[in-house]
Amino acid sequence: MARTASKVLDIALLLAMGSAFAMIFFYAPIESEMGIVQKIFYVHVPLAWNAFFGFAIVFFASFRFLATRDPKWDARALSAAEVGVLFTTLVLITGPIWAKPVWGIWWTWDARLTLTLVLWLIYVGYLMLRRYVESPERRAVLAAVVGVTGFIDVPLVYFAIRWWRTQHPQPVIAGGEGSGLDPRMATTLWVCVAAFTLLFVALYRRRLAIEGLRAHAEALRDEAEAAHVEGARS
Amino acid sequence: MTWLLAAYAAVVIAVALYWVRLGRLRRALATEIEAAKRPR
Repeated sequence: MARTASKVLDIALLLAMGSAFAMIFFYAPIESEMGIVQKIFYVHVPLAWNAFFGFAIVFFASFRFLATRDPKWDARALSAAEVGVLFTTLVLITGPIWAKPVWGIWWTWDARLTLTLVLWLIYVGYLMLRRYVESPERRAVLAAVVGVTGFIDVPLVYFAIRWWRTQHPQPVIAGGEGSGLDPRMATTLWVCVAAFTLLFVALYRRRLAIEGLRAHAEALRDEAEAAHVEGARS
Repeated sequence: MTWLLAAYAAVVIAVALYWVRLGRLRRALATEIEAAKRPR
């Protein structure tokens, strides 16, 4: 059943990605001021939104773990954090590649960019913490605390361009009066958002399955060790 | 066009590397589980 679901998801992902890139290159118009480099937007924005989605899962799963101490929530938080960090890394790579030809600089310490870098550091810290704390129980609790408190940066990143004057472009979706996109650009963006959401889900499911296998392997290892000790005693 | 392709290439390469890494991890764990289950 899970295998069939994975296959269906993989096929949907391939179709969605194929459609997204076909629309980017053959359907979406070229922006008049920035030219073709504006099309980086179609991967940059979906990556950022899905990273937020991932960190929202980390927040919820960490909260549930602290309430129930059920390891399945810890595994869900870890899986979402890892994919979220990958997506945030790509946001921090694609952003400067767009900024260099448009602004003439790779980076500026404005509120949106700085808070996004802080977001990346928080969740890289989360993953590092998981590597360095040896006790599994202590590791899960500490990680969950970071998973809950670290989420505070997500709304700050999202609202930074609304609250402060930033070099980062103003919002084009739900940005109020004067904002908005050409309908063909908007359709392309939503197809890209759907494709990257499927990518997020596919990676998250794969990562979570590994945690299940790891737990199974650890249980077998413990069983073998217990049998070995028992054998040595008798 | 170069900037656009550079950005897209970065995304494709990073996702592909992560996808392959997950596949390798899954196979390594499945092998370990199979070996542990085998009667000695």
